[in-house]
Amino acid sequence: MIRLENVEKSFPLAGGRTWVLRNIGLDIAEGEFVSVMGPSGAGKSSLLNVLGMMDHDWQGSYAFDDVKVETLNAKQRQALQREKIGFIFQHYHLIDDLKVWENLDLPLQYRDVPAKERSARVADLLDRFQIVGKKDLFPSQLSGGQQQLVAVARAVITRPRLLLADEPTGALHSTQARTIMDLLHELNRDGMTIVQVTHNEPFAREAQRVVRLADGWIDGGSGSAG
Amino acid sequence: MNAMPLLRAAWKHRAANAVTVATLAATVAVLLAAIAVAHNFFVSPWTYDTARLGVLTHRAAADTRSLYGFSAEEFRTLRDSGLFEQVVASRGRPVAFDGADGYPTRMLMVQTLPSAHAVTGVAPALGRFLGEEDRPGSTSAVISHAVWQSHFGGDPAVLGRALRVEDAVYSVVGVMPDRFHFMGGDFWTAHARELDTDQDAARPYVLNVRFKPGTDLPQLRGALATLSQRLVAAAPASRYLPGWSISGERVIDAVMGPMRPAVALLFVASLLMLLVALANVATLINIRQVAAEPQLAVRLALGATSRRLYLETFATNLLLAAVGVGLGWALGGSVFDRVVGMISADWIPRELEGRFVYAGASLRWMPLIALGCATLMTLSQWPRLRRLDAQLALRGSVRTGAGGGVLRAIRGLAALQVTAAAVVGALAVCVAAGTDDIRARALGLRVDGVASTRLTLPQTTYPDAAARRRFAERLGEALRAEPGVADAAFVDAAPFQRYRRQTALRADLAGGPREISVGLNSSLGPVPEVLGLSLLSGRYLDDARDGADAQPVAVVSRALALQIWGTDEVLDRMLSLASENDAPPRRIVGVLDDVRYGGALAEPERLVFVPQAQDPGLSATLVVLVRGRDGRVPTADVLARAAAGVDPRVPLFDTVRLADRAQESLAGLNLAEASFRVFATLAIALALMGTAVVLSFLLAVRRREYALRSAVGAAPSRLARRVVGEGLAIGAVGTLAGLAVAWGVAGLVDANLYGATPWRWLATGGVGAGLLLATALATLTPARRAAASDPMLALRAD
Repeated sequence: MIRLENVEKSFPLAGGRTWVLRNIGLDIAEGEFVSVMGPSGAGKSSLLNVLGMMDHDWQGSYAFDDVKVETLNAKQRQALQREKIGFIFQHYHLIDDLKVWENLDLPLQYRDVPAKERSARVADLLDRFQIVGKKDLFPSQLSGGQQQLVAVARAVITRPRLLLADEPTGALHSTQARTIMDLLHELNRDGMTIVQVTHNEPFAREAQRVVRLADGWIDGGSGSAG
Repeated sequence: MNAMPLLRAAWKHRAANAVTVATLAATVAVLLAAIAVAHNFFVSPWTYDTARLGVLTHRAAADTRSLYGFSAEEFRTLRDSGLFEQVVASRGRPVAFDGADGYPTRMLMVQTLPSAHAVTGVAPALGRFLGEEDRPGSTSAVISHAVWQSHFGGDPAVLGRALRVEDAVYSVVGVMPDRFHFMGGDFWTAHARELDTDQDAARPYVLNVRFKPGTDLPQLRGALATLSQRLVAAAPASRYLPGWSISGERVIDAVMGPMRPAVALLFVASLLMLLVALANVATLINIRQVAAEPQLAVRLALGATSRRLYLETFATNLLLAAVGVGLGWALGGSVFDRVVGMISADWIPRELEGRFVYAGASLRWMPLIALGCATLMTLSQWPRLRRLDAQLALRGSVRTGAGGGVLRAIRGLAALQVTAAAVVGALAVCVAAGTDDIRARALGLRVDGVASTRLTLPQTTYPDAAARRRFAERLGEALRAEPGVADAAFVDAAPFQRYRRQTALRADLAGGPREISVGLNSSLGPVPEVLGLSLLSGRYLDDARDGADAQPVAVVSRALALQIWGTDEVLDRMLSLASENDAPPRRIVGVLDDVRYGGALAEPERLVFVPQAQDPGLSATLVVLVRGRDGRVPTADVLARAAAGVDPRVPLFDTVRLADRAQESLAGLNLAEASFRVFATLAIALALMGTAVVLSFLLAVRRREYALRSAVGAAPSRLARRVVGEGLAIGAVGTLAGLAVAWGVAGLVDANLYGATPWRWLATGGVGAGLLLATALATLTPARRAAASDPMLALRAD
């Protein structure tokens, strides 16, 4: 599903360059659950930006379902991202001015899904995530765990093939974190490919594979699937 | 796009949005009022084709004003010149007309030609206009819509009905539409004389023209100057004053000209206001955007397209702009009423009387202004929206941020507001000081306690000068018998009156004859006592001594004496008046001190006063000047009662207190001064508000930095001083730039405002210091907040 070959990213700095990603080669198969770990500044978020097609300023090759991402223009890249990828953020990033159901509805609006279908999908997901009772609340009226639950629901409402999670449990206490991890496993069992960035070693090991980054390089030969 | 979240987001930032809406509302109110004023005055006043209806004037080199009267011969030359599509010669004759209530009212009968129809381009509402069949002496009359309504009750069968005007009876052949008052008239009839054969050199005709399509006025004036030279060359030497020339202009320019500088300045001030407001709004919405950027980045990451974000931003701005413009429209009505009140105090054409409409023009512009504001607001956010990056959502921090460039830009916008406020403030004090100087100018006449009124004597009862003078003498006695009246006198034109009797004065000097245009007044009664005129030398006219059979005499003003003879010692010198043809010259028996008869904005005038008894051309329209006892102005009722006692068929009109007229003669200046004062107040308030908001924002984005400074030992006072210093830097840069700009443009304003904007270093320096002080005060709240920075914040993670 995903193949990165010799992906590199750097910034010009003080007359030289600072490397963020070096010679990244990474294969992720359909339905895989991959954890990315590494110390601060190792390049985890940069890798997630590349995978999520939010960053296009890199060198190398990135194939998503055999489509060469580096050959796409901004519009095509955005269309591909909208169709295939969902995001979960460490700080939930729910829109404060929108109620729970409106937050879930937002990605569907952005994909021009008809109103009737949108409300059906939102109702379905509220039910599945057991947050029907919270649907008219604003994010500030929810606990951290509940907010992340809504954030996961928002990420999957568009039925993405790839779910990118940036420290999904980083801001949660252990019980809430466990709930979110269970949810990710459930989504993965349903066939969703998941890449999570995490600092939490036990949660990282729950994935099928752990990719370790240090100073922009992938440690060991763990870049290949299987 | 869902409206509910949009409204919720607007409510969430209600404080900042309220300031944005208030700023827009204040600016839009002024802008819409200015647009509506301009629309009423320059675009929509006429029932006529504004671009093509013109009027011809003439003036000699030494004339201070253009004159409208032409002779029949001059009319024929101009008509046949081929320079115009149509030319019409008309003359107005005030008449006493018995109203529907049986009381006489003063109306204006205009004697004109059928070509008036083509010149104005207006078709009658009923019947026809004057036609070729209406030869001199015809009894056909076309009436105005107002007369049709008031006198004939709007009867559709009015055609053919009799119209009695004084002792003549006319037959109504047509009714003109509403707001048609060509030449200010109420009725239009044929001329009494045949203009094609009239050889009289007197100039009673006003010439209106219809310009050919695409006429270039400067070119036309060149052609008229050439034509004037031909006329002068072909006429006897004494006929035209040196440098005499004909000119042409649009009627709208002729009647609106005096108000134009004030209205133009209203626009300039509105634009400066708009600059301040836009800078203010741009600052506010950019601040809001910086705060909203993390959320926008999340939206991008969730799949929103950039186009969608632009549209959402535009929709939010449109919502704010629509509310601001809506409120502005409501406020603009009262601004408009005030402005119109000040303008119409001076003089307005009859077509506009009571016709000032705010709603029409302003409503049409409202959607455009709202769209324009929303577009400009969105454009000001464009650079940051364009650079918005979805990666921001993954950076793990939800901290509101702004780079050095943004901070510099926001400081710059605040300084720009202070600059504009300093410009308007400095100009406001200069205009106020200049206006005070003009108001304090010595008029050379008394206005307090004096009233003036006008009357028109019916031709049939008062056919000649002697009959009119007898009426005036009886009215003078009747007025003096009233308990509240101290004295009364008669002249041709009251002080501050727009149109006055003009003639050419000729004096024989050692170096040859000298001619000049002067204002002529037929005098009866103690004019100097009533008007408080000072006599420099000699005596004033004496009604008993300077009778019809006595030696012709005149009293002249000092300005005239100086201009003709180069001295004010001119007693016993002789002068001739062109209006008196071959009459013997007049001996000067007195010289009046300088008098600004036209008001404080006018120069001391060249005036000649002659005894009524010695004026064969005494007009049927007289001006009565009445001084009250103990400084009290006689009321209109008192004057009307006295006039009715002499002849109840003679209506009085235009009864005013001279003090009011003096104030109204400065209407343009008063309007400009008031506009600058209001705009300066608003601009300074907006600039201070903007500075306070910017400082609060700068503090908010550097909250952590201040906490850190506090944590490493900065005293609260030191933190506060830092904020105050930043505010003062913005204030100082803005103020200095503003004063420099104001100094640069003051000359331009001065040139357009009757010389009422002399640069005042002290006053403008005071404005600068005041603005700086006010800026310092605006920093107090943010400074207090900075002083209370919590060092614990520096230790907390995001």
